[in-house]
Amino acid sequence: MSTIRSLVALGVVGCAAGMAFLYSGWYPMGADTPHTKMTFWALETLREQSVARASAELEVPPLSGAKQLLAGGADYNDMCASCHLKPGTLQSDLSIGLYPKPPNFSQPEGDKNASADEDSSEQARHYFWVIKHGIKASGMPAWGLTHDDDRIWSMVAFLQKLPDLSPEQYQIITARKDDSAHH
Amino acid sequence: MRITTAFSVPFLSLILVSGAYAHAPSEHRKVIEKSSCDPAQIKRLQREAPENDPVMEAIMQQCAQQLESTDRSTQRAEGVEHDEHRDQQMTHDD
Repeated sequence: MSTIRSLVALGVVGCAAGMAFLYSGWYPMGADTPHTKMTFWALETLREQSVARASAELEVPPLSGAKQLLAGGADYNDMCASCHLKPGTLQSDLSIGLYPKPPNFSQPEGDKNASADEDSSEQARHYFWVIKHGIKASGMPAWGLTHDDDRIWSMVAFLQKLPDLSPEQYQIITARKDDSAHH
Repeated sequence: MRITTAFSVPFLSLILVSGAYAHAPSEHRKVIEKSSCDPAQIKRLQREAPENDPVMEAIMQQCAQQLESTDRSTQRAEGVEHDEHRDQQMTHDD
């Protein structure tokens, strides 16, 4: 009985301490002050597991058409390149200032073997879900609110080719044919 | 005292808020770039690309119009040159 009481007391004290910390305003929220390692790990794990779970059932359409690359490329250049960069660019004001740092999609991922088909379709599902739904408190918007699925899959198709593109290939593919700005 | 506070608080807030939205103008400028479909560059890219490469296919689709008009103007220039050459020959023969 006394153990239960102690546990309840501990829980109440823990909750009170947590609430006190929340309301104290001591946690630094500035994007120029990194999270502690523990907080960073917790948030990264939360994000990765959540996206993996939510995107697991998505069906990936064929993603190798030239038309998809052209449509996705133009959209990427308009909507993503200022944060996620393009071939020949290593940083921008936004990529430097945002926290967490947006991934540089113009460079091949060092830690993943994207050549395997399974990895590639898992990556495609992941990209699609994140582009469509965005990520809370990260600066990544939910493009699905204003763009249909076909358009987002085209961006995924382009993203998968992006690390292999040279600056000149990128320039040609991402230029819009008409003079009207779409965004 | 109250008047000073009433003026200084909104003023300071305005300064702080404007700082938060200040980015380099280049981040917001909308520049519509045209594809640089230089025929020599496209030929080089074609040589370097593997067969049935969707990237090269996309480049060719993107540049089709420009390459076509370049071809047409080259042919026209060649035609004019040929006509001039023929005229010169005819004058010479006379």
